[in-house]
Amino acid sequence: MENDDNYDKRLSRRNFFKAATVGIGTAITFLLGYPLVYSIIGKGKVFVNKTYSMLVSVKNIPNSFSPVKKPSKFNFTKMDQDAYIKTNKPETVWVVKKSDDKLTTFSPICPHLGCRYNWDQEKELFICPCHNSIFTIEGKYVSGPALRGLDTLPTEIKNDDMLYVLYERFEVGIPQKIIIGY
Amino acid sequence: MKSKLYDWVNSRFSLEGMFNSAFDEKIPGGSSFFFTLGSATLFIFALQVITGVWQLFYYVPTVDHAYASLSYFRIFVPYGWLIQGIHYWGANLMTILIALHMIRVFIWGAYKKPRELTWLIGVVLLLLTVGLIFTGAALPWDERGYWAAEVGTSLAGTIPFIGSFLVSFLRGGTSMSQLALSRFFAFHVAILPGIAFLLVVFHLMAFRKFGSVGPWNESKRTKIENFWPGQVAKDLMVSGLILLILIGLSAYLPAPFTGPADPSDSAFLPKPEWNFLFLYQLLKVFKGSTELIGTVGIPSLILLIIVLTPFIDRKKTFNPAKRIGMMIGGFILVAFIFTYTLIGYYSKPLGAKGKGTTKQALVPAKKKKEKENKIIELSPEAIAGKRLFETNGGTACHTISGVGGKIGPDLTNEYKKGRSRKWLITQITDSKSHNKNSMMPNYTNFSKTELNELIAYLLSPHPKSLPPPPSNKIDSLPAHLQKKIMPAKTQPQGVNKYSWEAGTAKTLKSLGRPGVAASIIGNVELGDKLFRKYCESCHGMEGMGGIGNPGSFLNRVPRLQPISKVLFSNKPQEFANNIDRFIQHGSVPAGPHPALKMINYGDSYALTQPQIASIEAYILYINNVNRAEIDSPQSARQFFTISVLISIIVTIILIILGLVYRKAHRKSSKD
Repeated sequence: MENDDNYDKRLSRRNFFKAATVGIGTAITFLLGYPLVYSIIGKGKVFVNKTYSMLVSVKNIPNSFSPVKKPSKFNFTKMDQDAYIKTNKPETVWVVKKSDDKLTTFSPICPHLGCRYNWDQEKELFICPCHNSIFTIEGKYVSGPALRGLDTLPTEIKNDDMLYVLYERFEVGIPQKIIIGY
Repeated sequence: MKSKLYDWVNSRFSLEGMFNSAFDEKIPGGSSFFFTLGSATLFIFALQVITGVWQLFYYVPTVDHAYASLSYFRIFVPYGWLIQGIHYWGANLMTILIALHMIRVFIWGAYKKPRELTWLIGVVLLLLTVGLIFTGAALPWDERGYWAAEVGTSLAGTIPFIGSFLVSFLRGGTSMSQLALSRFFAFHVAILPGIAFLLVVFHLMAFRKFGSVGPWNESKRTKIENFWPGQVAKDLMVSGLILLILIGLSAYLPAPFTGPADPSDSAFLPKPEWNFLFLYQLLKVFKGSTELIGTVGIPSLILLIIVLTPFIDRKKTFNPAKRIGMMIGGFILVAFIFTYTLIGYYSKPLGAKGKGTTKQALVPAKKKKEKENKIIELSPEAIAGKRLFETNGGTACHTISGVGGKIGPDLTNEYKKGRSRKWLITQITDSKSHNKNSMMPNYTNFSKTELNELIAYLLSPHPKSLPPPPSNKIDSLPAHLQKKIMPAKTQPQGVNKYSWEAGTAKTLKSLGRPGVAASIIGNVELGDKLFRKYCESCHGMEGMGGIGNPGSFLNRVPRLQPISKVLFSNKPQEFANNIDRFIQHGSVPAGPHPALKMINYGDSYALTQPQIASIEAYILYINNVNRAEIDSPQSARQFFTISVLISIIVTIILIILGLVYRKAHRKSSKD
């Protein structure tokens, strides 16, 4: 700092460059930061395939109350697009038939914590193997930690007697039945 | 001022020393924009690391899902287009910046003793960058990346002695397949960037040890400025500009979707990315037994020259004017690479037909002049017949004068065959009575006059080849003919009246589910080629007019441009789903006994799913829908506009600040 004049000039230059660094640095941080953060906290597209899947002819479903109390389990496949993977996904539903026009279809997922329950033929009850939630053949809650009865699924009968089901998934662990996916 | 936390850390870890060594470096001659190239390269390297890591949130390195995962990332993930775009364009810009950085260092003599090691580490970083670009290009597992990797690894195989080992090491086997992709992935995301990161640190440490070389002119070296803040601010200005350019390129020039890799595809003509074009062009010069000179010899020689540069030029002076020999040598090398890149850019791969439109492709430009002299005048009746022939799909199946399809026989010399009018009428209306196996549909819909016109045309002498017919010269023809020769484009009859349209969407569903192709983003150019090969003969050139299909209610094969409103959708996925049902499963047009029906290209494996995807991309394209449209199309351009606005605001603030400081300085110097 031989003379003050030069010192002042340098000082103002320094201040200008410091301001420039902060200003441009902030702009770059924002322009990069916003898309980067948004791309992982924002939602990518979720593909919804809200179509009814063909199950079985109603005539071919055995009566669930006579001669023995027994619900029927049906498998079907459903076109599923999980982000970028498109597959024919096998799925299962339980169908309880009282008569040809009294059908109830249950989601195979226990409303407690998402396990798949079974039918216990001796006790004539639906029992979830995970935490022993128990339901009647009508899907009503009997005992165990579940907070609601079994979830029914919407069905349609097309072409006279073909049973179609709309496979839905529900939030588990709460008393309400809230759809979270298909 | 310094906080307690800073003191606490500093007494255990020398933060102060770190900051001092980073910021207090002395730059002889002061800060300069010339010295920003290295930091700009570092900035892009950092961008590549960040955007690369971000893509890992979505990308999977498997041959069956790599392309789909990247497509999903680019189209459906918010700002996926930007992150992928910065990575793609960043790689390109990095090549340019490294070249400029090296040229700058070369001219300033910054490689000279004692900075040789900095230069050598830089050369290794250059090679790592080449490796990163090569391995990265393969990761999308698309046509371009796949073929580049296939050719690139095969080239490595030509290296003497270690060639075959090198290929199998790079590929993890003998062919380009899943194991190869996994290896490319490991190299690209872990090994090469890891080594590069270490070397960047060494490069900077070596650089810092001796500092910036500064100007060669002694008188300019007296002024000395610290790295902070002058050089930092200039570095950031250039980095900000680079980011802005990258955002603009990502928004307006996204990387093309070239369709998923299809190893059986021979239609794709691979040409390397521009960074590798000079090597590609070298290969064309050295063929056969001298090939090794191009693949290994010259590239090794160039590398050797670059490595030896600090040891060849050992004069103490930095002034380029006193290092003429080096400057000329450097110029020749740069000019050589540049020229070969340019030649490579403009050259076409052998066997390429070019990107021309249908008409250009059908009539090579060279022969045009010679043909124009040979045009034979047609009678008005024959002109009307010609129009009928063209609008009813004759051209799609038959060739006349070198123009038309190859499904039916060439009719150029029909007039020489001595066939009677009656024979021709039977052929047109009931071809199977002449030949049981005839594929030709029965055209029972023509009136007698129309048949006469058609026959007049067929029996007229035809030149061997012809330029494309002038399409918009209707006015010059006799009034009574004008109606008949309305171009197919404006013929309204039955354009949207499809058989299955009579029903509801239920009928569309009844065709079957859309297949895998519907969710693949195909390549329009490849789709164009495939369309000409498989679809054009019935749906017409560019889908502009279908040929006749007697026995169907519509009486012709549906046009695809414009496509039926029922199939059309602004949403690319929906549009693709709609047409995919037809291409996968085929369909039978409604009508008493349609002569032609849509073939089930997917179900019969006549076309692969990637091929179908490309055809769909093409059909969307001719209907002005972009198959690769990002899910929120506005956001790309909006984001660029916002970026530009922010840059302008920051610039204005800085200009004002600069003026204020200058004023304050003047005032203080007056006092």
